[in-house]
Amino acid sequence: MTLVIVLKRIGMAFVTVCLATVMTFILLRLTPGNAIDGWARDYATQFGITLEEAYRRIAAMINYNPNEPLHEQFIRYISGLLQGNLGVSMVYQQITVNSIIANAMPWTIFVATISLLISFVIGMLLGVRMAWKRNSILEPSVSLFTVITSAIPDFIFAILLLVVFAYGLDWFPVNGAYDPFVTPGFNIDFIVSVLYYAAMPILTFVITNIGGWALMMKGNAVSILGEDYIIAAKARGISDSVIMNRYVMKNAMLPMITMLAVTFGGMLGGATLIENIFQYPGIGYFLGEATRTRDYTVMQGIMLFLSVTMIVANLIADLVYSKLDPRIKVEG
Amino acid sequence: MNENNIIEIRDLSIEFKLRSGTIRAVDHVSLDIPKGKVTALVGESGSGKSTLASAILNIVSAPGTIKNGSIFLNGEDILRYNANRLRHYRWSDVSMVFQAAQNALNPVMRIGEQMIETVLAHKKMGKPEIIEKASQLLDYVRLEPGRVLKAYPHELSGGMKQRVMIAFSLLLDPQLVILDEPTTALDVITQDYIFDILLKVHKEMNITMLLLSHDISVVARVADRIGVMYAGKIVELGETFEMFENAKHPYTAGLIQAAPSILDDVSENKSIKGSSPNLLNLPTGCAFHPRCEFSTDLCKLEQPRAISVGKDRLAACHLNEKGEMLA
Amino acid sequence: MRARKLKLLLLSFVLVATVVLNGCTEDNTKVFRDLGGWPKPPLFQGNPFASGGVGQASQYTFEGLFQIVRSTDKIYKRLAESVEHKGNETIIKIRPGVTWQDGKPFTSKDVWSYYMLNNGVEITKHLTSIEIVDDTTITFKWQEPSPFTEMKDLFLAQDQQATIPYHLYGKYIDKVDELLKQAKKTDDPNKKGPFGLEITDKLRKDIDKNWQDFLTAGPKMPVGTGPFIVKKVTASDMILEKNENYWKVENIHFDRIFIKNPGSDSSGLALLKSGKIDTYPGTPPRDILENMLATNKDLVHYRMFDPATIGMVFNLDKPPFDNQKFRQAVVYALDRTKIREVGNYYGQEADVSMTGMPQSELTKWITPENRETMTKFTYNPDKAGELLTELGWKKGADGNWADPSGTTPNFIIGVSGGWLQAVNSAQIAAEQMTKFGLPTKLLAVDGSVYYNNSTKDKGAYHMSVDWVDVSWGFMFPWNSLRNFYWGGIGNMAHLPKFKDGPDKGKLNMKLPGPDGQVVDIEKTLQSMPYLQKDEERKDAIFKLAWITNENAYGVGFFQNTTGYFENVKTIKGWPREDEFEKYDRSLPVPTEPDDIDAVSEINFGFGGITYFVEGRLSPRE
Repeated sequence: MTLVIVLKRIGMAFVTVCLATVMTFILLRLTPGNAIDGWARDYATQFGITLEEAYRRIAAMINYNPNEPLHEQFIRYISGLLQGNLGVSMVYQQITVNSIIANAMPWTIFVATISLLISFVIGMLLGVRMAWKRNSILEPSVSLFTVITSAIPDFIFAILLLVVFAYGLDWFPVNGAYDPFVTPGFNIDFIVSVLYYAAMPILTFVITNIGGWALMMKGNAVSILGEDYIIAAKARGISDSVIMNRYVMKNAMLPMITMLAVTFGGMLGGATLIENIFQYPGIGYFLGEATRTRDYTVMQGIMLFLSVTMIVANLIADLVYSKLDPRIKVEG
Repeated sequence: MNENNIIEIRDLSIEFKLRSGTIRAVDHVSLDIPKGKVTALVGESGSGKSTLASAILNIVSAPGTIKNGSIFLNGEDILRYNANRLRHYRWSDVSMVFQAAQNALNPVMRIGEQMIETVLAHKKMGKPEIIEKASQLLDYVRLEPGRVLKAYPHELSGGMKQRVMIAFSLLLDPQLVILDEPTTALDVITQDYIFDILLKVHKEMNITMLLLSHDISVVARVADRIGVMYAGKIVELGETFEMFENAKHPYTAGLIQAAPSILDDVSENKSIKGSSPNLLNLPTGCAFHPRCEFSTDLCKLEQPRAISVGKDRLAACHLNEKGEMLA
Repeated sequence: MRARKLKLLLLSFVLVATVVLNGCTEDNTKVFRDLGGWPKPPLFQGNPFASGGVGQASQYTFEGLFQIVRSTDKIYKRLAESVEHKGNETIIKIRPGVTWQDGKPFTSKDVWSYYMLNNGVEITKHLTSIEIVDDTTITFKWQEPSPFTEMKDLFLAQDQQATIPYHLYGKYIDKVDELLKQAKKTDDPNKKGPFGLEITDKLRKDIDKNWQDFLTAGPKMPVGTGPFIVKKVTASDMILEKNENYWKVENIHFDRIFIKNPGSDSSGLALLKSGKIDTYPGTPPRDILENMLATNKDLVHYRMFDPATIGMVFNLDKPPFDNQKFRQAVVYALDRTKIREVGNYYGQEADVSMTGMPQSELTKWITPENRETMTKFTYNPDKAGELLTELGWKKGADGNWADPSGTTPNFIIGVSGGWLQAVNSAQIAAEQMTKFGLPTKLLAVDGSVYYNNSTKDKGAYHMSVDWVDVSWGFMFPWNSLRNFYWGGIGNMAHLPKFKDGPDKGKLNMKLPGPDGQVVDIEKTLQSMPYLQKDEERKDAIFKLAWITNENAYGVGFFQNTTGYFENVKTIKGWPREDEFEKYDRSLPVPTEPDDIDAVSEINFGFGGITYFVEGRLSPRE
């Protein structure tokens, strides 16, 4: 893999990012509706002002001029981007999109990474074992589990877990990211609290993802098991556990590396419902909130950020994949 | 047990349970593999020779199962080995060069790693020693050890991989090396080259070999003894020379006639009429009878038994029972 | 294997965390556990006027000179010690010794600051100036003519004057003061802005800019004068601690307020059910309500009228809804009992079409004799048929009505999709109209486009379902009447307005009143706050209510019944304790005046935290 080829890949990723930037900008401008109406009515009742006055004030509060020509908005947006500035929230004027992302992203990445790792590892181990022992009880049980977990939306699981473990048994907190009584920072109380509070969201993701990984892994492993080099390895007297882990696992895992990157990207953006249920202050929550209030700058900032994450994750997966599988050459 | 034999196969049957029915890929086969010789098994694809060979390593792949019979190695039935014993037996007593040697190597591991792994699975040995041994063998099969050991399988050509596999099969100094179609998918020049090496290995290292091939003319070059398989049975067994001189089974005769020979005129080659039997629905009586020009009513009704037709020669054909020798 | 070790490590981590923290709860004594929403950090900030405000912390942290109970119009004095109305002046004495939560004294300058910056509030349109007499005395000077006394009190009580401390926002207050000084007095009612000033466009821009700057300048945490101080805000929890310097600290029996952000109604109910919170606002559908009370025996549910009605207005710009008789026919054709049962089982049905005021208020303001003259629009499909026949409509063989030209209409009811109560009610209304022979479809659209669709140009819908009268703020019916005629609901009804001329944008509605004399609705509404005599006001209210009802601009489905769940095991001091058993902890809307007051005040939305400030609530030991 030459430097030129890697640079080419990065260049392509960059073009994709540019396209994503234009697309998010245009698509958001095409969505109908605005939040001013509902907001104005709330505002009028909250502060005892007339609806008219509320409208006027909110129009003044909103950092957006709907009459500004699209190309001017775009140029303004791009010039901000070039300086690494995603803009200021349209609704929450004191907050920049950068700071929202900086605050929310670690939570989402934390939960997504841990749940992805756990579900991937468990799913892989299950999948390989299912392929290895075709007639055991494992395969039908995992298949049934997968059918159930993929048929039921993940937020239902979130609610189910909440009802059982938080409201019912009182083992876990009902929501939030950490105990409000601990001081955030690098101290053991805070870290334990963060893990404790993250357990339920992580469990939700793990439960809903494990089946998919296991089945995918099983499919790959079954075809690997049919390969001549598995029989050959057996003939060479290599032990079953080595064959399973080093031969089947490694070879079956390779095609899943790309999926891992895609899933990771999907988890970052797709966590809106779950994060809302657990009141988890991650990126999905703020994306949902921005969508609700039609906060275009926050929406486009987060969406752009997510697409960049996705593109970068794919790029990394591409490059890593070619490192892991000697057969694959990165081609320009 | 004859001490001249490394392996004695007795009454071995292997069945494959498929959705559409049960196939008996190896049907009550008995075979001796004499020490220091090259024994060949010849037959069309589907005749059961590869299955038989895999049984010797006890690696018959699902859904195949060994239904009955024994395979003796120095008097011990390897089919009754426990898992650990079996694992140790594999490769150190009997190794194999697979039909598709290209695919017999783990694509994500370097050749060297796989060799080291294999040796370590059997005995304690320092890595440098293993590498030294592997290098010798690779050198022996005329490969550049330094390059090959560091290479991934896909970085080598088909012929190179075949030679790697030959070297690999010798890694643990086995008593027997099974060579399953070692030259298929290779061009003629490479084929020759490989056979040269094999002969060299056989002669210089005095390695016993079991060679499987569909081409009787190819094996004639190297084999001391030939077994001809048809529909899961050994229909004829004997010394190579004698067999070519005087085939005792119409199928053998057909194979020899169909084989190209430098001596014969190509135009005289005759292929055997008809096609390989459907194992799911074998003809009654002698499985070969629909294709046999000498078939009689008896052939349709009764399976011929393998009978001795000379010194160390067996054949299963009704013609032999009546004493009617083939021309 | 590495992956396996990693897995085990992670699992054990989670397990250890669980075990370590399981059962590790904070000291819960003298705590009130509330629920609510707020902008999550990093969005959270201390300025209550910025987007999202300070959420549920607002009522615990901020207060005004008064506290109005907006469903009863009862006014409590808070930071005001005394009020004196003298001619066109109102002199207010502030309680001495009140301090902001950061320790600075609260003075009349802070009250003045509130009105300078927040000059869009209603009262400023009736004032000429606000003058600081001394640190604890402030004078409000009213324009002539000035509103009647009770109206003045209501205007004053609507505002939370202790929200803009001068010592924090002085820069913006001085700036707006300076800008307002540039404006000229005017007597032209069309140009009159706050304090009788004409605010030019240029000035308006500067004032708005200043306001915008003010919004971004909030402190990290809110600074009010209220009994609790915000100490900690996370995405899911808020912790407030008792303000030891509160002016009525002896009444505050709680050391802490915990507020949980449930994220959704159902999570909120689950919190309540499992005893994790002490209070929950609202009246869920009957089965849920009964289930809540059955599963948690510590809960009591109080129901109370919402001063607002859910209903449907007709679009006068869309024939045949421009026809009064046709509108009346539609009202007769609706079985509102069925609608109420689906929309809000505990709601209150009306016998009028709609009056611009909630049903519960009619008897308070209109005499029984006058009520008799108002047409009753109870369910009567025959009457509806008669009216249509009179208009030349004919019922076809398929059961559908056709207009005089022979066309069968296809009507559309628009509703904001996210609002279940309204969607469900509208669904029944559409079914009933279709069944009656006027094919009608329901269009539930996204809340962000609904209002615009409904009001723009001729409007996208024949009928719109929404609050048809709202008295939020105060109950005096002028409030809900103007909300109908001047507000968003009137826009959905497309009430006739002047398209140009000096009165452009004003209502062009001169209609015969109950006595046959023509009533100018715009003028009547405008004059109402200035009617000094009670009879005059009642007369004007009657006329408007009568006209609204006879013209059937819409139909009120039901007056909403809201409510509160309270945990009576953890907290004591809730009203009607002697009736818990009688009603099996599900208390109906009160009828006794004392009960009405007491129950209204437990609603934070109606009466703020009156129960805390008056010292009625305390933790049960």
